[in-house]
Amino acid sequence: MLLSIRARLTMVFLGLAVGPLLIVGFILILENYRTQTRNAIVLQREMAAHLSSRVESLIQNVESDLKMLIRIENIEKLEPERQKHILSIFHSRQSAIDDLILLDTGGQILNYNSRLKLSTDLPRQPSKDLEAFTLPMSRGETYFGPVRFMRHSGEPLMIMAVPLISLDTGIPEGVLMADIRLKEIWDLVAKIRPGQKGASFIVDDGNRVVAHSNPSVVLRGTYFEPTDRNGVQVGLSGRKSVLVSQVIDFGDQQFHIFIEGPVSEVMAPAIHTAVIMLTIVIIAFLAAGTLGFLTVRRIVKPIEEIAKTARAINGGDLSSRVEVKSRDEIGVLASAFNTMTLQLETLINDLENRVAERTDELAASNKDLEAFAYSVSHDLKAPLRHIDGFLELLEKHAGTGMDEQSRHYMEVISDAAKKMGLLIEDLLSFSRMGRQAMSFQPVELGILVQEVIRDLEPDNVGRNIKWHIPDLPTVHGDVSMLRIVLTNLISNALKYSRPRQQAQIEIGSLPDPRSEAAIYVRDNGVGFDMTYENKLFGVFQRLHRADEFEGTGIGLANVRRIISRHGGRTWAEGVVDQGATFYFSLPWIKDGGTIGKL
Amino acid sequence: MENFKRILLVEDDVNDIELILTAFGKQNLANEIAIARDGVEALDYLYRRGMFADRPAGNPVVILLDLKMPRLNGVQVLRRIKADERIRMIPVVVLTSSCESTDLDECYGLGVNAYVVKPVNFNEFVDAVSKTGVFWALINQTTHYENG
Repeated sequence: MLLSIRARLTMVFLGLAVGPLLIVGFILILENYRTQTRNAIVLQREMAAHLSSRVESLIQNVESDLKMLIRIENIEKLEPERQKHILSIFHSRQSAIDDLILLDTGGQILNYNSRLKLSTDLPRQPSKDLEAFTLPMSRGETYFGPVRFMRHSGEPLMIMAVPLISLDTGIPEGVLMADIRLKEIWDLVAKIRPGQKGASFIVDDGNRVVAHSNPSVVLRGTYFEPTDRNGVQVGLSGRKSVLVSQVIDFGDQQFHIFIEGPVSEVMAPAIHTAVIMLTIVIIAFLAAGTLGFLTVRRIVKPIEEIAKTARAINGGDLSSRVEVKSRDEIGVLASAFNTMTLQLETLINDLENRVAERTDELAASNKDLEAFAYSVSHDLKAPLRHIDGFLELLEKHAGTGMDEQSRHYMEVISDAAKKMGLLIEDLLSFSRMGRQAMSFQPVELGILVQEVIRDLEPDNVGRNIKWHIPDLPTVHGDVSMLRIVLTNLISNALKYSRPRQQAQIEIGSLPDPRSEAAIYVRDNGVGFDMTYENKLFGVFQRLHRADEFEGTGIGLANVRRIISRHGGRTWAEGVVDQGATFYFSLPWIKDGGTIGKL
Repeated sequence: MENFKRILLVEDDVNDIELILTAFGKQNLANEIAIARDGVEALDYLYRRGMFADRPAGNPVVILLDLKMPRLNGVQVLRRIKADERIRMIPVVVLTSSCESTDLDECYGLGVNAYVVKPVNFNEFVDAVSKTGVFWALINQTTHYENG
């Protein structure tokens, strides 16, 4: 589709104004997003480090307190009553510990002290195979048990077992087992969290969430598959979040600490920037659009004015002029255009005048020609008539007194006069053929050929003629002129095939798919020498003597003139004593066509 | 005083005049013929002026008119005759060599009463001319319209 200058210029304007803005805006928003993400990750990493150190220190505090208790008091050597007393004092100081159990080398409980005086999950008499006993005994280091949850409150608990190492031998001589309440971690997690909607949570080895800023998440028994990657991903909340993790390793147990900040919150500043950016882009777009529209109109209006005038001139209104007064290049163009149009108008007027002059001259010379033909018709025929008339009168006057020789001379004069009369008639008919007005209409050649053959029948009584006439097309032409053409060609065919026992005449059309219909009339007559083919269609040109075949030689000249007036061609093929074929072509009417190929 | 001639032949060619008179002679019409040698003479005859000022009063029953003549030609004469109330009732027969359709159209357009083409062959010529003469001079009934 044609794109107008106005549309193109407006698009360029808008593109120029808004394009860079959009690109810069996009880059800025992207950069902002990245920076915000980076910042959030750094912040949350610090938070994670802080949280993990707090959790670690919480657990280490308990461990070191337990170790201290063992070291200082050498508790396994004391009386059970004394042990119990020390344990209860310790218990009252260390609020994170629920139950305390003292075991000897054989795994026998030496003392048991419960804060709530209630039975917990710990067995009264633990098996020797229990990891919480065997591992600290065997390796001499503290054992951290898996997190468990209290049946009623859902609080997390963790067993910590410290070996009682003899100061003398350095060999474990028992185990101090403590059940630690991890609920204090919950308080930490609740305090240390990003933003308003963010959360921190801790996942144990079994992927279970053991602490969460929202305790109900833990109480529901939620699991979370830890990931190593820090950054934007789907968090525990199911929303897109910035997630940062850190591992706390206790040897036997590993905790994953997660800090989760929802993108919607973390990215709030970035989104704010994007909104501002978008607003600026829209305002710039509108401003550029308006400005562009106005400027384009200023530039394009004169061009459209020129285009309008050009169309008017193209439509024939040469008096049309461009009214552009701008002083820029368009003004120059307009003025040049006007000058050009003026010159064109002058030129065309001049040309029209000259054509009119020539037409008048042509008409005058045509009139002369007609006067000539008229004169020939009248002036030449009169003396002929007189020759004939007075010969007749002379014959009557001289009566029987005239000798044979004189009679012969008179006959010759009479025949010559008759012949001259025919020639004059033919010449006149030929001249008429060139002047006669033509009326074009569809002509069914098949029907026309039949009519012509019927008209010629009286001349061919008693002859043996074999006609072969395949389907003929419908053409576009002057029916009376085409009748003359066919009459000439068919009567020629009849005339020159007269010496044959059986005349064979074929009238058909060439299978010509091109722009014209080609019709032919073929006979098996005396034919002609192709050397003289160019003479055939000339006025009064003959290839046979008058005493062989009658005629003046005007027929084919008429055929050629009529066909050429129809825009067609004429040609012939022949072989002496074998026959001749005469062709004529007529153009198909393509447009507005009632006529086409049948 | 000369007898009133009933047929006016307008013809410039002496040979044609002789042949026409011969043809009319066979029908005993020769004495009825007045001859004008061109258009001017024809009008002079009709209006009884110039060389025909002394001719007896009365209109011919028919005018045989050649087309191609010096001075005033046949078409011009025909136009004058048919434009004049006093003589336009006189039948005019064009007798010419021309069988051009333009001539035919023009003459019939001007109101010619008949159009006869002179045949080249003498016998046909005699036949055509004498039939024309007999029909218009003897058979055809005309209105009696006195020349003023």
